[in-house]
Amino acid sequence: MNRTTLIYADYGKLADQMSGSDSVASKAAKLELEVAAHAAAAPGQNAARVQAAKALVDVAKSNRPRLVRAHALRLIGFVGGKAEAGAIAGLAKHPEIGQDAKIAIKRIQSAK
Amino acid sequence: MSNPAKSGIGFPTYVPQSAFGANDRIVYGHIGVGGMGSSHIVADSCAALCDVDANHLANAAKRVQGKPMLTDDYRRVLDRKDIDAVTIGTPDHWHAIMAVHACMAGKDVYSEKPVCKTIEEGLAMVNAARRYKRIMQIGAQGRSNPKVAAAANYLRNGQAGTIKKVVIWHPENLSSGSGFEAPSTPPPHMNWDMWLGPIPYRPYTAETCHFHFRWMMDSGAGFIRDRGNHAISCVMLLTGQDAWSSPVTVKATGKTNPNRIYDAPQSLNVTWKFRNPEWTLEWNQPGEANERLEGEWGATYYGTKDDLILTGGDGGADTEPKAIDYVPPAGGFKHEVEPDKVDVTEKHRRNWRKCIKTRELPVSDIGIQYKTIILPIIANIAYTVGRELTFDPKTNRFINDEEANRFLSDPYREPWSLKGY
Repeated sequence: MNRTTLIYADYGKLADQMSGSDSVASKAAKLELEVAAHAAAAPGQNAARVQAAKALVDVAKSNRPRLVRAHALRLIGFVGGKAEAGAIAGLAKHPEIGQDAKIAIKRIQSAK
Repeated sequence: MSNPAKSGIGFPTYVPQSAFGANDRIVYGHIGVGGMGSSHIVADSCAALCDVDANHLANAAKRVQGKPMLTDDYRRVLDRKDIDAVTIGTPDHWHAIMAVHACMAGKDVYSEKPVCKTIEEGLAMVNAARRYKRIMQIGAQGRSNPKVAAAANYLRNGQAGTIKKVVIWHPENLSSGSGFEAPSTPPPHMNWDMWLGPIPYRPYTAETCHFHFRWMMDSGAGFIRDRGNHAISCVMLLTGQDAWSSPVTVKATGKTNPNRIYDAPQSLNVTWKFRNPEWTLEWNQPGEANERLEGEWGATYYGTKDDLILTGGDGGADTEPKAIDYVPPAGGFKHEVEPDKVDVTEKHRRNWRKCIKTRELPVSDIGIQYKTIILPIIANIAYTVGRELTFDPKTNRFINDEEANRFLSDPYREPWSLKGY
């Protein structure tokens, strides 16, 4: 898998692909989101990290399917900072993805 | 029927004769009684059986004398003051929580491998066992295997010189093929919410539940942590590195099967580089067996004077005649296993039971096994982030990688917590 860093719009496109009914394409998009997010969170990649975090917050707040939004929240836990924790705090009471939001916030807060 | 209490499965009162007092009888509760967990049942001294699958419970209950309490909630087992010890044979994501809570409740613990999912969990297990003075044996029963002991005696007494490299071979995860099962309503005998417990919600599919949970990162994380717990436990015993304490560098590459739901890498190659002393460990999945002694999985130990093969390393193992025939010198290293003529897993359980009575550390104590499980855990993290990492076992953190350190713990779904229940 190519570990290049994506731009903001790519995250949305991949989230759409993950939302589709083609299971193979959906899984590929899920993994590509994961690869991109972790590449953006690597040491020294602050600009990419900020872009990834913003894009993933927007995916988490979108009307995409539950598992797509939950996946975005999981990745926010790794790339996000205080700003993203604040941005997703409102999702903590969401009936479907509230637990995923809380987990992401706890992970961000665990960072030293 | 998600709750056996509401489904006709009774909760008969069972009062055991004695918790190991005058007659030295240990009273057990068994948590997770499908698969390997079912093998740990002590039929004549079982006060409680717990499983989130009512079919598992019903099958286990048929094997037990008397009428044990049946429940799908392990907390009800821990609440029982008459139970001295518990076995835990659940999927991986429950091991640490249950083991820690069991220690808090004053129970001795036999928990299946792999030890745990995260560094935080492993540390919590060690701390709980020590703080509450509990015996915690991990089901990495290679340490009770006479063939493993023979190989350890050969290598630890220097017959191969200094070990510089160990290469493990192992087949790919059992996640091949194609097709995605559509999510469905959990079957009526399954409490799916309790099965998930601390991990994030995912819809029920049979292909991610019993046994196959191993191929999902949240609940299993592949053979590297599953069989890897056995394999690496043997490596650390045979090389004398149970107490390794210098930073280790880890690099991992792998591939998932694009045509199945599973997200643990089906193929995986890992290299760990240790310091003080310098040596290298490799995990090759798939890898090639050494033609001198073939087996489904195993490891070749390369020393400065000789090399040695150990195949397997759980209940089954084999090694070369030079190790089997080797007699350790007086005063030399000798790894002891239980002498009873029973199968290896039973030897391992007997070691645990003996230690419950003597209060000595068991052969596969949580302290040793925590140091073992660090290695597959950090390998999976290196695979996931896609870069080489260095982990310091003194601080239990990665060096200079803030993101990797966010994997040290996996926050739980509410209400689950390592702090108690």
